[in-house]
Amino acid sequence: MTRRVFVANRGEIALRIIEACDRLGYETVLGVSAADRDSLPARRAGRVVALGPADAARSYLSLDIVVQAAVSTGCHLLHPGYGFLSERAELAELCEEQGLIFVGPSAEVLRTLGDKLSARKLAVELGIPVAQGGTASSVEKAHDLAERVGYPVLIKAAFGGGGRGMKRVEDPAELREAWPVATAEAESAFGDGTIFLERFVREARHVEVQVLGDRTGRVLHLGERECSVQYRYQKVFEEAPCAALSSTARAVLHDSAVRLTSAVKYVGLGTVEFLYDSDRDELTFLEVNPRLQVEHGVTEAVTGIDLVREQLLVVQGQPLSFAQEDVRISGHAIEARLTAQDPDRSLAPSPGRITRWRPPSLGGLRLDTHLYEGYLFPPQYDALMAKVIAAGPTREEARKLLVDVLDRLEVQGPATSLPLLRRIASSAAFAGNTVSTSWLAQAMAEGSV
Amino acid sequence: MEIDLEEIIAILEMLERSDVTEFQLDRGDLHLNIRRRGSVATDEPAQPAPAVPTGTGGHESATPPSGSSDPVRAEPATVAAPVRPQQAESVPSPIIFELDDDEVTVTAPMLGIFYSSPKPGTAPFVSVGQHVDEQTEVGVLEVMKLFNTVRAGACGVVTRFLVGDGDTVEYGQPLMTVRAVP
Repeated sequence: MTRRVFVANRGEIALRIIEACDRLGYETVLGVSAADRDSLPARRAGRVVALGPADAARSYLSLDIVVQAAVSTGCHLLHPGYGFLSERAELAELCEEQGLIFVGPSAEVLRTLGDKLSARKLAVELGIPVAQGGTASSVEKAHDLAERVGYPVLIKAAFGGGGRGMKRVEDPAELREAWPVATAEAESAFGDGTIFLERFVREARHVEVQVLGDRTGRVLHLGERECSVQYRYQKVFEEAPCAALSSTARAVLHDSAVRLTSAVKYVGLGTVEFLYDSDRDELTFLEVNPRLQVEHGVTEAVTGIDLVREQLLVVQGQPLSFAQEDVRISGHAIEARLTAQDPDRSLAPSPGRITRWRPPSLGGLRLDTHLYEGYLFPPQYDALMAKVIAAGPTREEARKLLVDVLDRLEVQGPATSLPLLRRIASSAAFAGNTVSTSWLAQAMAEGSV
Repeated sequence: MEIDLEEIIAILEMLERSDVTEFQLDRGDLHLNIRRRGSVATDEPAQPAPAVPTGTGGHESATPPSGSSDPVRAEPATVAAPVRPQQAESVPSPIIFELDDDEVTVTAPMLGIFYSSPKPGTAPFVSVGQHVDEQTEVGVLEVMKLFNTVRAGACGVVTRFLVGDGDTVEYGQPLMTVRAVP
């Protein structure tokens, strides 16, 4: 019987999932909002159903409507992609109730890991280092905690992900102001207002491990990625592997990620995020993203493994077809995220009609995008336009190819982050691999990038 | 010229074997528009359903004149796009119908399963010929066992139901027509 997959997402990732399904011979049904009827994934999907209006709360974020659409269209699996409902335990539960295979870990695992607070607790139990912090039931208690941890602190949404829902706070006055705002933002963005705070590590690199688990309880890692080029905790560049890691730190990193996810019998794709202090050669656990990650493409580029395909197979009960020693990291890959954001206006969103879109064609380049000339980039959703991935035998060769690709890429219409991406790729700091997570904001403020 | 039912069936069978997603035929006063389920109408981004042939007035008949006693209000064409894709599904395709100038549609506020009555076996919320105003409850949409009220959103008389009881309807899909009463 031909498998049919409901794609509960939009944009480039919907396209990526549809592509993986096509190659497996699976049928696809895409649920769209009124703003996405004309999207590229809507043209590529086997079938399209309109969920609701452009407002995500009444379309992509409506759990009941999404599952109803999957059931009504006779789907067997539901792929949530990233963002939107992807980390919601209720979605995994509702899928199970309705006889749908949720492409992701179980509801129980999502509750434990998707909730950054309980994930912290588990890491502590397993002896994995975490940053100082915790949650508080009131602003006053948050103050006490922040005093103990020491400013600056980071406020995070317990159910946030992909860097969304984080805010840096410098002093008590800022905390008083930020705490209720962050609660409200978390409530509106993630459907849960729980927030917590952690000590802010100033000079750190963001490193993360890709894991993949099957239903027999086996979990493998597919190496690490580095995502230190960030602006307001949004990743801008990602690469695999992390060239700055010591071999000892790398071993600890991989081992911690596999132990953490094995402890919960993790099924499917997941990313275990850490901060790495390269001066002290120290790692601290951040969170687990229990889903397919935006930057999965760089891991695919250096491992040769189709992550979405493996994800679709393991959730259906197929055991992993390869062992840890079969996973070999070869070469280096760097991804730049092209977004509809204006670098001249602090990366403010700039939706609009794409009047020109001419990506180059070069060996070693992969482009994951839902753009086409004439596409009206909608204002309601994430600003991601394209993921430009350049791969080469070494980091420097991958970087040079990326510079070349970004130079030749033509996009017109709304303002995009392309000029900034070009400057970053050519910068001495990025070329010299000395970038920490605070670098980009600082360099932009100084005008050095 | 007239096209009979057999010829239409032949066209449908031919289309079923092809990759064509949308087919439009205009001959004299015959206007046939067939769209494959799941296909996205590139020319109608905002509205999913009523693929009324363009360039025809609301009072023209979309089927060969059928001896209707009222030439102004000819029977609407209800050629429900029967070209099936490879995938079987329960969401009905957009229904092709024609709207008179004084008619408006009541559309689904979300994807869901449409019911015209509060419970099985009970009287429908509204029937054809019944007067409604903006706030009149005209149906419910079931979404994961929760029932969402559909209101007419217009003042007038219900003229046609465009979907059946238990049909899964998409967001924006026309459910029924209402004729404005001055």
